[in-house]
Amino acid sequence: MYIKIEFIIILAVFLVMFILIAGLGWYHMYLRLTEKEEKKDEERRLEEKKQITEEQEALLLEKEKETREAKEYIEKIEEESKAKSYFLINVIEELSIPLNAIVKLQDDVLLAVSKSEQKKYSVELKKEADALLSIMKDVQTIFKMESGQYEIVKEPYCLETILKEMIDEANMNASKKGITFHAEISSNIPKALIGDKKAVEKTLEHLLNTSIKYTNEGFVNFRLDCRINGDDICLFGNVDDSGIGIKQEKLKNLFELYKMNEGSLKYNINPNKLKLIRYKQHLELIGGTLSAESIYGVGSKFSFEIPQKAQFGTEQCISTNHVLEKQQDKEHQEETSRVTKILVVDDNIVNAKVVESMLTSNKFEVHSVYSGQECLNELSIKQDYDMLLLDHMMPEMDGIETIHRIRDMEGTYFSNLPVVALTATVLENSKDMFEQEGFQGLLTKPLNVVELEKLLNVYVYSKENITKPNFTETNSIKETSTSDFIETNVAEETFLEEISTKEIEIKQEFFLEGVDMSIGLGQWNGDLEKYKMILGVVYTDGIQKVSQMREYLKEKDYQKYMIEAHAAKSVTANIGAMHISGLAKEQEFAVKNQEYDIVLNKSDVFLQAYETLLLEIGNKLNLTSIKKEETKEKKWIAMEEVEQRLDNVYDLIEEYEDEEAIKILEDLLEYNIESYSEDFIGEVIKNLNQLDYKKASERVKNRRSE
Amino acid sequence: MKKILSVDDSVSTLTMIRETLRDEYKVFVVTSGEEALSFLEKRKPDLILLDFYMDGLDGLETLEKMNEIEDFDIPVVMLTSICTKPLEESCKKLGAVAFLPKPYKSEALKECIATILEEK
Repeated sequence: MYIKIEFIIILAVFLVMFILIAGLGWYHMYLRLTEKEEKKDEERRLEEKKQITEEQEALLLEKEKETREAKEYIEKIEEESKAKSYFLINVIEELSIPLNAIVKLQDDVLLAVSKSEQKKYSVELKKEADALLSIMKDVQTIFKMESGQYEIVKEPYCLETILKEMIDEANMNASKKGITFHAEISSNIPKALIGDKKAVEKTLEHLLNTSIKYTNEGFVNFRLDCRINGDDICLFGNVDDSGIGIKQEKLKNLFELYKMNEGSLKYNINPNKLKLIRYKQHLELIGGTLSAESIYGVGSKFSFEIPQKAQFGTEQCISTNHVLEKQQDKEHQEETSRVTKILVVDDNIVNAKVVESMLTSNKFEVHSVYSGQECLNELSIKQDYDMLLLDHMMPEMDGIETIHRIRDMEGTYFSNLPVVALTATVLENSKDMFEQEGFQGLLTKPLNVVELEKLLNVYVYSKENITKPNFTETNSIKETSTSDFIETNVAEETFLEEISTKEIEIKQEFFLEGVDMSIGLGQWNGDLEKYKMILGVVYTDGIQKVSQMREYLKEKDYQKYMIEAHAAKSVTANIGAMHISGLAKEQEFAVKNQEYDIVLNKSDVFLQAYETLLLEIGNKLNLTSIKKEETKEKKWIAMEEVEQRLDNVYDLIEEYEDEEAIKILEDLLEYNIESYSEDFIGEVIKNLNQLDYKKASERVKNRRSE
Repeated sequence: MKKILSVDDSVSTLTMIRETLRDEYKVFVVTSGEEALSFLEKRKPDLILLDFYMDGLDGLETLEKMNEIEDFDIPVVMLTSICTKPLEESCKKLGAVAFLPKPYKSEALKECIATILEEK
């Protein structure tokens, strides 16, 4: 048997082909598989990618949402913060109302008070009230600046004058403390500038004052220079001193309002620091800077930069005050006797009263009403007001509605009446708004009389011939009887006013010295017989009361004396004896206020006058059956006895027994001693009443040696 | 009756103090620190009421000078409206036993004096 080679070859070929095909097939499958896998992978990858981008998108969205929320949150906090600032500003405004009244009233008290002790208290009180007001204003200004409510002023002013004043004062204060003050002012600086005068003035003043205050030996130096760029000026310089310096920890937080010092549990807010922060913010608001360097125990240096603009082309220094002063001088020369009538409208009685008291002089007549409606009523009755001061914030009818109603009233008087708005806070656009509503001006509270004067000049004086009142008069000393201010019994005041407005014919046969007959008769409608009868009763009762009052004084029963003086005050006013009524009132209030020296010194004046009047009445009415007390028979006493008693008095004075001494002396007066002795005793009694032991004993000693 | 020396530059205040205490004490009145010292040369009161703010020698200076007197042991009540801590300490060292603010209430003044004089 032989195997055909062809078979083997064909078999081999088949085998090979089979392998090939199989191989191809597998390869194909393999490819397919891997493709599938790849596809799967790709799909997976795409899926993953999809997932990632979805996640990313979700994240992005999240982030956007968060940022949005964060922004909203920040806005909300900023709003709250602003609201708090507004709130604080308003709170301070409210506090200012009574505080301004207190400050003003304190000034009045200071003027009305004459004794050194009361004056001492008054001065102290004024200092404290002023300090409180100053702190409040600083805090308020800081918040106004922080919340964008502060109006930056741009006005022309004279730098030269303010520098001069500042340097003069600094010189004076420095020499009082025995330290040297040196000012180096560059000659490049223009005399006149335009900008925020207050920023410059107040900041530099404060820096100088503080340096001088905190330096006890050595020097305070003030340097001022400027950089000029066209008409832009940048003032810069520093105040440096050899004072007590500032500790590093404090220096860090010197200008920070909301930071507390290390280890401290509260904010260190003192008036000085408040001022520093305020001025720094003010300067920064106009593009300047304020900074401090210091070494504790060696000294401090405050550096500043203040941008302003220069007034070029003017030789003289022009300021806004300058122009108006010239106008006022012209007005001064015009002459009339007309009084300026002003109507004040404010729902807050205290505010109205403060304005009234600022404008009292005999050139102003001020009347107050407390609501828009009352204002309209008043103007419909009287059309002789020269100017209206109209508060804006009032309930029911506010300032703007009121002025509209006024302008709507028939007649040129109402359309031409100058109306000035009074407001506590001035916001950015309020000036324009008020102007649009028909106001002629805007004043902030507390009322600045100088500003008011400017408006009066423009709207009142230039139109009519009215003498401009001299504003220094408004602050002049008012004559008030003791405690006129402290106690005003309203009923009594109006009563006296009513009496004086009645005018009756005077019958000439009957005349009394010191008595205003028109008042007296006016009480009884001109019925002279009735008046005479009343006078009779007054006489009989009065004579008794006078000696009773003398007794009370001797016994030091001041309460009873006061009651009688009170009664006498009304009685004498009723019959028209106004001068004596005034004396009685003075006595009554002197006891009420425990001002016993007035009682002691002036009771005689009062009682003598009253008695003299009563006797005259008695004479005129032929009622003088009761003799004068003074012509009473006096007992006789020997000269030696008098001398002995005076010796006794001398010893008593030396022993500070003032009351005992006075007793003996007053007793002596009951005897018939020569008139010069009487005077002498009277003088010693006076000295003792004033507790002047030295004078009293000298007087007695001299008398004894005669 | 116990004797009280009242020192104040205001005659009205002295009169008021005297009237308040008249029923229970004998009150001497002088208007200055210098006079108070003269008084002390001649008489010895049981208690001194001393105003703080006066012309001439003020309350503190008067108190100092009083302490220079031999065997000075009279209790002193300072009548003052404003007194700072350091000033209070100085006064206490010099024999001030109490501080009454002005304006004082009559009851407060009487009680204060009574308490001090009892303790003596």
